Amino acid sequence: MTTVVEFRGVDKSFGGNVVLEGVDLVVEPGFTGLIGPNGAGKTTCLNVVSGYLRPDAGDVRLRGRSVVGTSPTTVARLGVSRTFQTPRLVPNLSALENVMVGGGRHHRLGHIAELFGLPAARHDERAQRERARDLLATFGLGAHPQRQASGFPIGSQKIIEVTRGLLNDPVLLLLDEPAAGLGAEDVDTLVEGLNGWTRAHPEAAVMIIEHDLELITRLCPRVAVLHFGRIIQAGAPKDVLRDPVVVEAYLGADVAAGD
Amino acid sequence: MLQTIVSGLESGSWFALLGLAIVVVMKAADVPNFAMAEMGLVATYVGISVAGAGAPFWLAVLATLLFGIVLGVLIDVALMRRLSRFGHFPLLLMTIGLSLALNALIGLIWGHDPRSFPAPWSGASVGVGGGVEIGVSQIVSIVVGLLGALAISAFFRSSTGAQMRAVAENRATARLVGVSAGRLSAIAWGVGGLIAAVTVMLQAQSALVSTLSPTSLIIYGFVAATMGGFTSLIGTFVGGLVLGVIQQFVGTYFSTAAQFSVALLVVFLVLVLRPDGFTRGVRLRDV
Amino acid sequence: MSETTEAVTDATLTPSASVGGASIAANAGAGLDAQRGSGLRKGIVAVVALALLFAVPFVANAYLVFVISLTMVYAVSTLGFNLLVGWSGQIGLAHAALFAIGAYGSAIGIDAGIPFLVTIPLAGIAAALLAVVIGFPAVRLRGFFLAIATLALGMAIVELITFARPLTGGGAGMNVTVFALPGIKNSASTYFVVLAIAAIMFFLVRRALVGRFGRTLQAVRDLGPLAGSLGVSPLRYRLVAFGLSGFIAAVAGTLYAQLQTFIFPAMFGMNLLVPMLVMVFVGGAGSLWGPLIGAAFAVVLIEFFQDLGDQQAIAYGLVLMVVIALLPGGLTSLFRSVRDSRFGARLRRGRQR
Repeated sequence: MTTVVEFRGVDKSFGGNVVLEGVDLVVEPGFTGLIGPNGAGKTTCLNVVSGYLRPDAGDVRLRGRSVVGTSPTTVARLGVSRTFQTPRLVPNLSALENVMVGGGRHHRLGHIAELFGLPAARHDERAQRERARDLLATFGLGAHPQRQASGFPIGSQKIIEVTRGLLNDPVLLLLDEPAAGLGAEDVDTLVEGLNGWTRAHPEAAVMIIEHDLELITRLCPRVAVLHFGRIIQAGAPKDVLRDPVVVEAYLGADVAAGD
Repeated sequence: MLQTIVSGLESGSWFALLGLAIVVVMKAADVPNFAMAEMGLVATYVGISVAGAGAPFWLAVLATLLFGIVLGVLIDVALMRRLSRFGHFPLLLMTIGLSLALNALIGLIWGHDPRSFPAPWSGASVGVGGGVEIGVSQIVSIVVGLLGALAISAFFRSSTGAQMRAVAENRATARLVGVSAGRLSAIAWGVGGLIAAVTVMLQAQSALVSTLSPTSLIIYGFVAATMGGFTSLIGTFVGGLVLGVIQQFVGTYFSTAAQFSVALLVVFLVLVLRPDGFTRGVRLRDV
Repeated sequence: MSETTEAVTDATLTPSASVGGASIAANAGAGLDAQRGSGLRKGIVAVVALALLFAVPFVANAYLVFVISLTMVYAVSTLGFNLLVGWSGQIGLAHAALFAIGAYGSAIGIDAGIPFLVTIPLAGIAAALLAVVIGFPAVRLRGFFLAIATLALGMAIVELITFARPLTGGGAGMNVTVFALPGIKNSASTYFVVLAIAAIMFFLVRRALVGRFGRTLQAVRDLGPLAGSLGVSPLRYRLVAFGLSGFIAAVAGTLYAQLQTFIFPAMFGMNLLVPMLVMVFVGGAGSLWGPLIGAAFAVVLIEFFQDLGDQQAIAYGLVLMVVIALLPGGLTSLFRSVRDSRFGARLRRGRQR
């Protein structure tokens, strides 16, 4: 198995605020959960690996290649897709078109072809459209691909965002609280779809930030716990979630912040 | 050389003050007010008419200031408030429309001929040695400009001012805490109208103003505001002064035709080199 | 937890401000899918419209021919402006100046012996390059600063045109040698040229916007820096948008020069920029009809108010204010739901750039 992502001693501070401290994390293909109380630095980890933040110290490697200081666009082209806590879709476009926006990794044709609708671009377009349609169907949204994205409930929008990320054929999929705000049915569809996708793409990794511990246990064979910017525990969910250090971190943080 | 600097500081004071007015309204009420200069012009013309009717100088000044405040509040209450949720672009267009309408109104009522605001010191000048004379009106512009900026700074340190900064800082939260955004918006517009009136009045007591003046003045005001990053009062003030001085030097040593273009290039350069403007001191920060 | 989340997701929620785009963009290009449903119908309508327009010079008087020509020219200009403001979400106010480059570039080119039709793409390319130069620093700026920077540069360009008197005739203006199609009367000839060029531009622009380019452009507009996570470079797309809008503006400018037969710098200042803003605003967006509607509206307004003489400016001002108050999303928002626009939110989030 080739390691997909490796964090080595990553530090990150904002002003005087230490957000990440000496983060060491290895992400193998398959599902990896990243949990921790709010403000622990989980999204910061995603930002670091996707190129939006530059660590103050340490290294982040994607399939052995350092992505520190690489622009988000380049990182995405290397095969990284991500979703956001609140879905970032284009409201005017249909669900299908929103998914199609995600094929950035394969944008090999220049602007000229795009602009003039040259045959090569049109062929490309058709192929992408089919794949997008299939992806939507896999995730239970095959019924109304033409409907405007803004017409979907938030839960479905989040799923659309996930499928958009998958069009990229990513080696790394970053999901930021994908199940938040989703009903039980939607969560099931999401899990099914993701499982199916990882089975078809055994070399890819999915990093999931979640507060829904049940989902994490269901999906992820490995989970890491972030607390005040440090990884305090990592391993199988069953073990990690029963670890006294982890329990204290969660309960302590809950009580303190009145979560 | 000294004359050039003084003239530059003078016009710079006008630009700075107008810029401050723009920033105040922009930050506290979230509206880029393109009609600011016209508002000042209306108020100034009212004052000129009052003076023309035989009233003493200070009464005319008072009339101008009061009218500026009232006009500002009126525009806010009757017009801007209803549209605040539509975003900057429609609001900008709205204020452009307003500036057109006001300008035409001024032309209808007062005509398009250049006018000046009669002051007790009109025409007087002060000798500073070496045969150089500086107009008293110029000194007045600079001093009032400075005092105005200080007053505005002080205002924002007061409790009302603090509330206004809170609103600028985070509109949603401020409303939750119970800050009356409506009342503050009216105050901001009133203050904006007041400053605009002062600006054009200063211009009128030293030079001539007409319906053609606001067009360039508003641009300069926006430039000054840009140099302060639309947040810093000091940045806007200093920016305005610097702009005025540069302008004046270009006019004196190059050509008057190039003045406007140079101002435009200056703002462009500023935006390129320092995209957020020069922000220091009292800031009405937006999150 | 499931109960509450279910309640939340049952309602059809409009995306929160974090998904939103600029107010005019609220109705901007609803891509191929929204247009596809009526694709054939739209095609037929377009052909019929073209046929009708073709017939105009044969049945209408010279004045009407002129007005419709002008409307088409403005429609092309608005097409480009819309691309920049509506589709790429950048309030770039140098559009009138780029329009002027087209007008002057073509006029000067004709005088230099270049055939008129050749000056069109040449002027377009020149303007496109200039737009990219302007855009280079501008695309990094957030919303309002972008507007001021481009406004400043646009005005500077017009000043420069005034300055270059030997070439452009300075403030006094210059004559434009009108191109005439062989055998056709002047006013009709210009009309047909305008119609042909306008039809071509509309066709090309629509083609570009309806495919991947248009989609990605909108993603750049709505996602901002986050568009990078999709594998596209936001700065590059914004720059391309600048260049394209400049090209289109200049093409419209060349036609404008032909129509007016005499051009001077004051024509291209705020007197033009404000109507352009009105046109792009009123027309809303949508790759085809929006600019046409906006242009028609503005032209009707201008002609209507011509007889008012001095009252013109008040009328414009008032109308502008009324239109915005009533239709903050532009005319096309009448046909679609008005979305809560948060350009201001974009401005604040722009700090991340």
